Amino acid sequence: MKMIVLWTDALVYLLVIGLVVWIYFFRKTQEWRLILAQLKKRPYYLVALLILMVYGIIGILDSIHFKTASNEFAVRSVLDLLLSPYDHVSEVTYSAPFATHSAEPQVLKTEDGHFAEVYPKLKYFHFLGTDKIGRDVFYLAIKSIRTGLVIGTVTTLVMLPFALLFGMWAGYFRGWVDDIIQYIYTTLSSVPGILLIAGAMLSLQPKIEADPDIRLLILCVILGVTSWTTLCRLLRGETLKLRSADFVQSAIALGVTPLKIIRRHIMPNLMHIVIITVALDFSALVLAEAILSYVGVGVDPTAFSWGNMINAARLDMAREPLVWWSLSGALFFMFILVFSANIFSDALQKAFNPKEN
Amino acid sequence: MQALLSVRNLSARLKSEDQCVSLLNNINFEICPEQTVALLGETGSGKSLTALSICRLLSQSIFLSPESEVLLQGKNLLTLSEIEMRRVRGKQIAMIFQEPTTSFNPVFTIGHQIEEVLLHHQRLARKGLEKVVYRLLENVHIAEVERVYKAYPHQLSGGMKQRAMIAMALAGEPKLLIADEPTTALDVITQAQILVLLKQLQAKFGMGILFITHDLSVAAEMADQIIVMQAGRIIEQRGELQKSPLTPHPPQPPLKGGSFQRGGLEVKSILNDAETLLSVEHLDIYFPIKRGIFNKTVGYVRAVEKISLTVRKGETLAIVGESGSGKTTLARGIMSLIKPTQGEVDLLGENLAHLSQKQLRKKRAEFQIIFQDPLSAMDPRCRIKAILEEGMIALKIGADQNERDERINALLDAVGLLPEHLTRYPHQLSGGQRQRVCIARALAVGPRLLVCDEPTSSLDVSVQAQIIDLFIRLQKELEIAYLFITHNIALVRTMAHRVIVMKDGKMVEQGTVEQVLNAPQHPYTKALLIAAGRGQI
Repeated sequence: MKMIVLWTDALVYLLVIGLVVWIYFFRKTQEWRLILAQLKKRPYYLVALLILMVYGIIGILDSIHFKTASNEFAVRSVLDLLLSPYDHVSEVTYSAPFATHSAEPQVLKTEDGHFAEVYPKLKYFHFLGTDKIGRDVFYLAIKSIRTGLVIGTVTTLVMLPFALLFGMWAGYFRGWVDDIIQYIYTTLSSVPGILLIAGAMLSLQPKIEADPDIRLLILCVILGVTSWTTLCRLLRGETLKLRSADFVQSAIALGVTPLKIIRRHIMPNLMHIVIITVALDFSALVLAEAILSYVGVGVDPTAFSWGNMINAARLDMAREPLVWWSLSGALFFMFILVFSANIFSDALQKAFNPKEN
Repeated sequence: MQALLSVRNLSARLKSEDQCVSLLNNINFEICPEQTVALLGETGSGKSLTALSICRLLSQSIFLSPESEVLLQGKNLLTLSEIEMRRVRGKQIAMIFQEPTTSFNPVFTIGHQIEEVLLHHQRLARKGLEKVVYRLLENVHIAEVERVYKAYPHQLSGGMKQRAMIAMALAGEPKLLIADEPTTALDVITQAQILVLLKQLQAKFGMGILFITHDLSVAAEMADQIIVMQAGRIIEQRGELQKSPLTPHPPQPPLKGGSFQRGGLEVKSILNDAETLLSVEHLDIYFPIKRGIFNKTVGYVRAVEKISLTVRKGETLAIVGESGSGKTTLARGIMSLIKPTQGEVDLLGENLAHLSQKQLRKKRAEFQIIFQDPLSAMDPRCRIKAILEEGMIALKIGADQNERDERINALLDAVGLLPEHLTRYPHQLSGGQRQRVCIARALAVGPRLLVCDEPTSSLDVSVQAQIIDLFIRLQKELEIAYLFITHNIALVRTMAHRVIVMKDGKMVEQGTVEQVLNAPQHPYTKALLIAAGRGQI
């Protein structure tokens, strides 16, 4: 057995380490106590956090990849092991949730030598049914969690430095710095986002075709580069306001250098906006992945993702009898993630907004 | 005479999840027709809460005790239904508020808003309403009634808005007018005019007035009866007509708007040939007005025009003027926080405009600024220790942590704070303590000139006196010069050596305190002094 670290795996590990370090230092601050107080006050915040944690753990388990000696070509993850045998066996074709027999009749040779149309018995139990080529829908939906999380978090990480630095510089230094940064983001945000992403993905197509993992990474970067403008604009406005606040003026009067003022006085006072926007953007990005994969410029068509599942379900929906379970499976898992992220961001918003306390 | 309003056993509590805070405790008083009762007290003493309870406008988390009674002409308001109460509000009881700007809806004209009140309470026909509004506006001595009728709130000055607000309150011909600090947001001259107006209207309409204020001189001028409140209780209640001095209460330092009760520290006189610290020459600060798609500058707001002044070592130069006269802009211009349009600011013989950014930052150790509102002048996310240390680290004062700590302890001692305050956040301190921290922060870098921008006007009167004492003591000990910006004439008399009077960005008069305050030359200075001197006991 040999461990394999994909590019996105490495990023996931880094993120986890970053989160642990951040919590270690953050847990002594007042904000941490406020968040805990909010969680205690309303149990549904706690439920949202728990669901997010379950999603997170699934994502991490799915990011530990290895190859076994028996099969040189199959890269499996810890999650696959846990969900075995659903990861490597499949039925013949569609079957409904909880069904014991396939949804499609097959012509088989019976014992007495005749040919008869029968509904073959399924090899395994399928909680959410199977898709066209007989893969378990529940397994597909669970495997898609990693793609959703990677898109949500890595894109945010790419976007954040742009938004933070440009927003604070524009607001603090004003003048020509502000003009240039405003020019850039006005240009970027006046081009329809999906077109921009589709254009970038298509022009990089030859390079990213070979490796689904690299394709995912590139998608994150492109999404990040095109989606920082909203947050940047917000932060610029807030910085303009903070800059004229008396405490920044008195720091200037005390001879503190601009970069230090930005770091010590501007940034901490912007953090509540950043955290809230990031939590909301995360949900938007998970949805964006589904839309982009549906359009065909998202993740690799062979990769597990909710977008790909929805895209495939397009044809299923046109069948008679209707195959509804693959679409609803993907939508349900996506909905739960986005819903919990939104509820949790509400808790953060309450904890970080000074007016709420 | 039968009382118009009598408040009996009024007690209020705030109920939150786990605790119950008593806000008002057994308040009893009466107001007769044509009588003015002043409620006097510091911020948070329960004055406004009493007024809101009378109108039943309390927030839902505040509960009145069952014994409480508010009788308006014998009818208990607290037992009325909300629909009946709505008829009482505006018709029988009217309120005017501290900030006229926020009391008007910005998207409707003044005339329209007064008409709404008339339609609701007087049930007049819409036709001919305009004439009624004109008459109401004339009642409050507004000369250009037609202009005001058509104006939107932002097009009027603060005093004009407050007049319109009073006109609106009187539209329902109320029997009782509740005025919640109606003059606090106005400058002294307008303030005096509004008070006279209220008196005249009271005589004309025979209203009872409940006048809420924290300014004793205003209360003494207005009221037939003064009620002093502290921490939700009435601590003193007396008729003003007795003319006996207020008996001082142990926990309540005398509320004096007129003069300061200080620890007897005298301002040190300074020598005429003292070294010049700051000299400002022909300073202009203009703000461009930009219009159109190309941001063309179409004109300038002349915030500060041709100001020249000097401050010598250990001297206090006061700058007085009403709000909007450019005092604060001047302070920021001197501090190089705003770039002056023209003119020179020389500090210790060096022109600040000629210094590079780096040299200017170094130079900032010599001059510091103290702002009006200490809470907004401190980063809400920094502890006091970090706030005090910031300037020292930036200007490399104190070689290591130990030296800085020593200096901080010495500063705490000098401004009257305790070491335990160091670990707190600004919002955990009281107003006076916050301003002490701001003073300590400025002193930490060892300045020779402090620019103080109304450093006491956001504080309660009793705390103001302590902070002024601190300023005077520090000047004696450290020989610091102050450029003291204020609109409080009494303060100028107490602590300044020389004074400059500003109006509309220009200097109208300057000289020593005795010259300017005792023998003013300019008509504006005279008007300012008369307005400030009104009602002083």
